[in-house]
Amino acid sequence: MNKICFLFEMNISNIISLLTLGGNLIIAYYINRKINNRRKIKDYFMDEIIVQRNAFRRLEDELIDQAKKPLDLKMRIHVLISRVNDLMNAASVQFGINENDLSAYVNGFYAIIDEDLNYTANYSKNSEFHITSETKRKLKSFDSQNDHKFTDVIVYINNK
Amino acid sequence: MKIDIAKDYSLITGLRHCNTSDNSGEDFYHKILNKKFAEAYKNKEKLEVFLDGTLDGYSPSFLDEAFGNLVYDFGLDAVNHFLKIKTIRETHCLQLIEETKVQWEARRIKAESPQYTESHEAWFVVHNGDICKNNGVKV
Repeated sequence: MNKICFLFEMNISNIISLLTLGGNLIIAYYINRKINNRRKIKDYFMDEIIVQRNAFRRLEDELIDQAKKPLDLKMRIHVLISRVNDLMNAASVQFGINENDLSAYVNGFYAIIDEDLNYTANYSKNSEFHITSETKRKLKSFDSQNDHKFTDVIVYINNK
Repeated sequence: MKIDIAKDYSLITGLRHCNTSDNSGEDFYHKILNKKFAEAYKNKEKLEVFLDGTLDGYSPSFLDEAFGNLVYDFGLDAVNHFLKIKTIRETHCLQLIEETKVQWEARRIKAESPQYTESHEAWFVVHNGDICKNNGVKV
């Protein structure tokens, strides 16, 4: 009788163990899937921040080497800034980041070009122009001092 | 009371001064913003300025000249009290306008007059708490 009871208890405990193990596996699976989804979302945002950072770098390089038309340049900066605003707005919803964390960067970048004497002089006629040496120097200095702002956003998102 | 810049002024805005571009910050201030803000100030109402909807956004100099002149003529306290900037798409402009307001308040205290590159009809200013025209005519 004792042996039967022992076997019965063993079966019950095995069943409970199996159920617990199964439950844990299911929970682990869903948690893992959620973590993977979260990771994918973070990676997406971090990749997009890098894309925007590179777009500003590319524009800076072009401005140093090439002539531009003021109105084309203004539209291009507007598009770049709109993309950053949209991205930061979505990142603020997803990760609670301050959506204005890149505002100082985009405003500072734009202000340097906006103050360029050749840009303002050629604006009305929309004639091609090269930025002045002074503006080139300011852009390079601005970039070296503010490049970290994009990195700060990436680090913030990664740590969330 | 509100100003929708894209609808009430222009779909394309320019640079700082009238002598460098059409639809400049100087022009917007003297044609629209000064009058509307004076009306809001007299009626003790908020003036909402909607930034969204222009085709190529705003140059920093446009915003600086337009909202800077407003602070220069009415003072920072009045502008903070009666002006509300509304935007969903141009959120970076909010920070810029806030910085502009502080800088132009300092200019106002030092009486560093703005540059006018075109003649404008007399505009509204606040003097000792009373609203009047910049040529001294009381309204």
